[in-house]
Amino acid sequence: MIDPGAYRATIGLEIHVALNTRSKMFCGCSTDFGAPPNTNVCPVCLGLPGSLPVTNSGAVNLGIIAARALGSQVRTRSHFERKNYHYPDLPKGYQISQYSAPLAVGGELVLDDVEGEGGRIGIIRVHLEEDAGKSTHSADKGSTLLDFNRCGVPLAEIVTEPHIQSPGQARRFLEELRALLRVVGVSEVRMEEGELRCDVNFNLVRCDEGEGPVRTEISEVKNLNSFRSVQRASEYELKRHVEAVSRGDVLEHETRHWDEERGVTYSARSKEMAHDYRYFPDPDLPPLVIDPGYADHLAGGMPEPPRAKRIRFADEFGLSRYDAAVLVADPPLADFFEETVSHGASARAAARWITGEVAAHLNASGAAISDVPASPAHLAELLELLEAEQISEKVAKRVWRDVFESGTMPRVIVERECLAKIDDPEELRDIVSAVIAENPDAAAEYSSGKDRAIGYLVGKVMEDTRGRADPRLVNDILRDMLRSGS
Amino acid sequence: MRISSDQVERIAQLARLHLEDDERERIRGDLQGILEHVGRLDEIDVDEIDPMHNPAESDANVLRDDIVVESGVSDGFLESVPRRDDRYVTTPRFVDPGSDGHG
Repeated sequence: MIDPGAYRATIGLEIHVALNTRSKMFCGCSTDFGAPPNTNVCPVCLGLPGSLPVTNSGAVNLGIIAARALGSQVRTRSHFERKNYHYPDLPKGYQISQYSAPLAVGGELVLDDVEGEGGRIGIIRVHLEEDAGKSTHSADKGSTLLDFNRCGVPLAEIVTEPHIQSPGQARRFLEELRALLRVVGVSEVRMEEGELRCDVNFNLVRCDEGEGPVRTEISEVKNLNSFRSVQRASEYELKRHVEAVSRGDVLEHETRHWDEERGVTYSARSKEMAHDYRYFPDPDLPPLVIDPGYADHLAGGMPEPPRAKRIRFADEFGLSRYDAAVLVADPPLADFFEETVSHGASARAAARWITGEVAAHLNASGAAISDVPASPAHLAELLELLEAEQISEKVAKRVWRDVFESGTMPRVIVERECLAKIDDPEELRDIVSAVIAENPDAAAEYSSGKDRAIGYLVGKVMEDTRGRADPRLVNDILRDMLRSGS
Repeated sequence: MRISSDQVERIAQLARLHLEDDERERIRGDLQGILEHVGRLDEIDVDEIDPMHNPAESDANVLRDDIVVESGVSDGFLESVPRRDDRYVTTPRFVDPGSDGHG
């Protein structure tokens, strides 16, 4: 009997990311998503005879930045090759890609150790290529609809080492990669626009000297367009491979597809026409020669990567790993945080407010932080009032709502609406005795031993003072006055 | 090197060409002749020579700026395709998602 527990999942990913350029890889057509079908087309991307491609320098620069962000070595020389295959959404009959001399090799992406899914995931290569058009299969009309707007859009393909050891880690890797590529400006990685697509190469490798095969044959699951489907397809493959090993079945090396609705992968069954892309250097495109100094120059202008920023937020500002992760996951919020702190606010209070109130208002309004009148200076002033106990937490939240909508400085709002905390015991005593007089039943309940009636009375005082009273002080005064029967 | 009829058939399939038996034999002969001709290059010792991947080797980095240029061919293109549905080009429905995207 073969023990499936002696095996571990081995996953490698091939990720295609749409680069954040205005124009296509080899022609001047726009890369805008959502244009009417077949609008952004020209003789080059339609593969018309006599047209010649010219490489987009912006795409090369972004490719270099992606590579350097991953710690890959940008090669001094690389060139483009033709990957030949016939498909209706590929009008030239080949895709221009890189094969024997990719843009960059090596590198790694480090995942924080969360839920045992940390680790260093090696990168084999980063290369440039062009996207194909989009085909829509219409069931009722018996035809396939082709839109070539996407055809020729610049892509970076990132290939990992088979270092990923679980479906959850595959997902974590993609999340970290997306955050990194967004921060360094390589791609917006809009999943809903298909800006990141992923192939999963999956097999099991035996970890001991026991019975059974050393490894199972690799399944290549193609063209997954969400992190969730990468994780689910990997989970499905894990189960399928484990079952095969348990039964003693031998799997074949094959290409598979993911059926999102049924939650299964299925064989592409195209063995008899196994892919043979007949790569060769594209004679239309001169090689790329990249001076290391040029790559250094581009890398030098790169913003801080997310992992470095998380570590710095924890070390420099004493944030919890969770708060650091939440802030860094949203770069404009992370900037807002740093600016708030630079205005003198306490880092922890700023982090708590930004991940709490600030984020909640942004979510509710659907606005971006850059589009609202509230600035780090506003938040810093509010936190200063709170810190000095000039306003209560409850009032602070109310003031923030006003700041968020109007952009008025917190101190102005507090003064205009008389929101400063009431911490004068004499003043509070007057308010408390009025509340006791208005709520004789609750007062009697408390006096007869029902301690929780006090909560109701504190609530009333807070209500009457619009949250300006210090609830602890109110509590003390209430007990004192009720006990003494005054 | 001898090229077989099966190899010709495989190349034809990759190129999506249908060949009759007599065509296959004729093309096999042509390819055989081409390979023999090119095979003469094997006689040259190239151990000391770096491979040249491109005839424009000396013109590295022919690049353009990332600027959008409207081609203006969109409507003309749609008028010239054999079959379309509104702004889509249409083909008979093909089902093998295997080739969709990139291997």
